[in-house]
Amino acid sequence: MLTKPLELKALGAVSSARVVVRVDPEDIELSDRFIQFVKDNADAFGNRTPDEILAEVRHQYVLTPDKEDLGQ
Amino acid sequence: MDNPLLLDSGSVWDFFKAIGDALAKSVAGNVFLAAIVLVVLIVFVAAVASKQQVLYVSAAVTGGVAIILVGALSFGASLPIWYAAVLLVVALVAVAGAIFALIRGRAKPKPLDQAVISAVTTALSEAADEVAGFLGVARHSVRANVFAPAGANLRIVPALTVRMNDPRELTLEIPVGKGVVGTAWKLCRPIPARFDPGALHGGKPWLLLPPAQAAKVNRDLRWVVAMPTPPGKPTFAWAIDGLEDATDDKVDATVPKLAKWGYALDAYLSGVKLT
Repeated sequence: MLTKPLELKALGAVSSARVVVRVDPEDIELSDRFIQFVKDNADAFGNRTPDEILAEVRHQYVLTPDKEDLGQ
Repeated sequence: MDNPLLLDSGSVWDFFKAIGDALAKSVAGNVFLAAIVLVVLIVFVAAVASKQQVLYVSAAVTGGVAIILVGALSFGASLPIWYAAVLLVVALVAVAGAIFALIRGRAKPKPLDQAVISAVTTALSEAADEVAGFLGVARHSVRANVFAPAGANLRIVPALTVRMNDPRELTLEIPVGKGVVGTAWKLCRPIPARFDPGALHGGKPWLLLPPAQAAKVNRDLRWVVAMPTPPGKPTFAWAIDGLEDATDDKVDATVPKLAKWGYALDAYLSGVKLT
């Protein structure tokens, strides 16, 4: 995962903060809790399987466009 | 008339006929141009299919041009019939897709009913528990909440919270661009952050949060992860926060774990009126 620190001078009570620039697809994984949630609520997910959803989530985060103004 | 675009009649029909004939002749006489038109149309269909909303109108306009081209066949233009047939199919898909997307985009927001509240709070609770297990902190110390855009602010949705028991905190409103959640929203990206316990109790400003709003936040907060969702084009934000400390690395590493839960929340909250 790629992150970029926020300017500390503006943070006040925030001791550290980072903007997530990119999430590596392999870092996004299913969990037993999530698989069960998808099974229990299949209609809400258009009957997609957990693996199909995982592929979509990975795609969403990989394709998030870069922004110029990630600094503060 | 040498130039088909020079009309001797002001009728719309003649104008349409002239444009169609001119376009058709240009395409029929130039294989490269014909291929370009087809490729552009296919790209617009793909744009509609992939929900790139900014291109819906372009898709509709381009589809309209294609229909004019096809229509020009009836005026005697020499477009190959196979090309016209392919063009027609692509154009109809583009126009139908664009109209469907535009109608859907104007659909009336759905109310936040009990079924949605129940499903979303279950998802929030599961996400919080997953993070608690990963960080090795007590479950009851990890909380979750959803923020909805309300003008220039993000407002917490009281019904969509987990383990947040202070009524005052449920009235929290964060200006866009301020605080952790407001900054994450502005940048359309997740932000993990940790807090300085001494500074929290000492009344320091919270990342430029207005004092009246900062005063509502739990003073024992140690970290928060703000997740604008969907990423890149958020319609709501949600956050997981904790009252037991964890390291920067550990808090950062919760983001990929939360990504899938953001997808689940969006499945329920997309198109729902939250404020």
